Amino acid sequence: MTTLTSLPIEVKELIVEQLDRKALCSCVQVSRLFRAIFLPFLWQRIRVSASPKHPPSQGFAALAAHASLVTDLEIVGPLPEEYYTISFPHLKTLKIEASRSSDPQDRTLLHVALIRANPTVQDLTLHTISFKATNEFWEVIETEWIRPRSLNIDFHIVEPPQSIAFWRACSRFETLSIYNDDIPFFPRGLEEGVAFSQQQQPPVDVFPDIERLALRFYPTGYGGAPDHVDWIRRCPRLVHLAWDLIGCWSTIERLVVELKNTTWPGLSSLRIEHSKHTDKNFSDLVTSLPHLRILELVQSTFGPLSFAALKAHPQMRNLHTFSVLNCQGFTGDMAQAVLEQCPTLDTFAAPYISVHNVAHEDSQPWVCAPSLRFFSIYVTCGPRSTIESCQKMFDQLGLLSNIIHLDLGAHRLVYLPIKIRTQFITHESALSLSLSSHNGGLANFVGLTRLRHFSFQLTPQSLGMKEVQWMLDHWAHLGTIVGQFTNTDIPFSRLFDLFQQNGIAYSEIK
Amino acid sequence: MPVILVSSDNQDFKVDKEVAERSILIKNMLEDVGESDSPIPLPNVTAAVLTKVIEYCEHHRNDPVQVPEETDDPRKRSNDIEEWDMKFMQVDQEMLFEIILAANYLDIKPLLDVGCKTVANIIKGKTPEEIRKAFNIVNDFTPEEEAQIKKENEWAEDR
Repeated sequence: MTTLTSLPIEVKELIVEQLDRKALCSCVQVSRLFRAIFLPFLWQRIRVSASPKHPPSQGFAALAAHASLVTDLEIVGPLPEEYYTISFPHLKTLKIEASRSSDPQDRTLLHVALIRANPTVQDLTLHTISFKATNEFWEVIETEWIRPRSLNIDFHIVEPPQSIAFWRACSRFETLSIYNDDIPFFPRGLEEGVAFSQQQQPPVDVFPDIERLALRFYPTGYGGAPDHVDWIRRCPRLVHLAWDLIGCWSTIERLVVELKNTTWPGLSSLRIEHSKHTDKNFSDLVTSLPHLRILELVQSTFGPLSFAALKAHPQMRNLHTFSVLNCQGFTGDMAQAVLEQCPTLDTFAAPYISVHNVAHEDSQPWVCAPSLRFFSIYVTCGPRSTIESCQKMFDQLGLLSNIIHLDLGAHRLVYLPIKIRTQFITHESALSLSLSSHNGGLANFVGLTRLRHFSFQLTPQSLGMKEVQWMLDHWAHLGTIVGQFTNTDIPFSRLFDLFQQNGIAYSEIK
Repeated sequence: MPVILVSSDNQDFKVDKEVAERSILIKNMLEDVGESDSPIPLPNVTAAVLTKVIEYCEHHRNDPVQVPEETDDPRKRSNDIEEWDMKFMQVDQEMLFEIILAANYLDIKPLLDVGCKTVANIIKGKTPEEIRKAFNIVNDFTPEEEAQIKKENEWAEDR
């Protein structure tokens, strides 16, 4: 007889995915056999926090008894001391978070004990400033951890006396993400600190394993990064670089120099934020990235020279991601050209496209329509647009059969060309593709059956309950919706409840 | 061109290629073999189960093909089983698990998903006693064990 127990483990996992912790708790109480099936799923991901409702002290015995089932642990301290001594033999992911309450006790040594007791951890996240990692903390990671993979530090402070140990520990990881931190940089930038002024040699010449790097530092306090590229160039195996230049003294021109020297022969994915470059600078960067597959540019400039470099790039037809969100200089013509010419595009984001770009007699259909999953663009109509040209745009959007994320919102208006912005203000209602159902609107999107996220925020639509019902009826996977339903008297709170009953998160503006 | 599928109990089923190819396993087999009218043996699926699976594939023959996803959102809407699928899944439990096993073996992802969601829906919102009833299971814990598990669960539930 076939029963739940005879299903293979990967099928059981699919069932468990659908259950919340409450249901899992019921399952482990059913019988010995059920307990054997469901207990590992109940304990694999554990978050321990000092919540007043269930004081952590009550759970210590239970957690220690099931330590071998835990693979993913999140600690929101401060916890009683004994928690820091548990060894979880199969732990893979550890996250240490900020505590909300102040902690009178110094937990430095406890954190070292935790790190030492769990050398199997591969992915470590520090999201806290409430404890300071000591030299010993970083040395244990460097010398005792078996196979570390990713380090993600977020709002955490490393002080100059710890910086050598910190950077040495970093050299063991494949993925490094440093966000909003205050970290003494190396090899320069520490002239006023104590550590490196006494060191003739930098602590690490090369980070041989780093493949993915995400950097966002502010030059405050001890930190301040005179030149990020001095450090990035020590990662020869780099594949993915996400670099936010906010407050940074470096420029992308330094990247171009290194790229021309083939410092990163495998680099194929680049995300640049807040760069104050010229169009020419960026076109040089595009040209010097031979394996380009993912290109994301945020709050910067992408003009005609950059576009010409992209069009001439031998890898343009193999682009996976192209995003120029909140970038100046990128036009609707350019958007149309990318959509026409990149057959394997998965993600596309640009400030705007006009219905005329699609309806133009020389325009080709979007070759990427079947592969696109994430799409973000504001559609303008202009005073001379016709019903036919709008319909052509709808026809094209209706072919995005695998789309998951569709954002037609106008929240990036400030990045539109002045001409379009002015029109928007004077003929507001004429300038956005109308989604209301009386003229076909949403009905064109009946084929977008996999849609999970839909946004039309800040576009001048006139949508009401009819459209709400249409979305609920046709988009079975919808999980979030962002935009204003102005053509109804129903208050926001009731709409919010209605969507929530259907498992959808709703907001007017994101 | 029709394809002939043979169940484990040696019954032949003649189905359209388009319908049979809802199963990725069969689709790959057909691609490997090329043009051929030899029957395809399915030694893991009985005639009773295969009848149900073919019924599902007939109904969904025109659905768009799912592309595999790297970043699947774990928080899917659980009540998103289509009405037809819901009725289709109203079978006794043995058949339900047989269909799930067959969908897994034949690699028919949407059918596997619907089957797993159906099982999850039987479990959801029920007390342990109600789950026992639903699956016809006897409670084999001692009262002491039960008390111990309850205590652990109180802590584990909010994690």
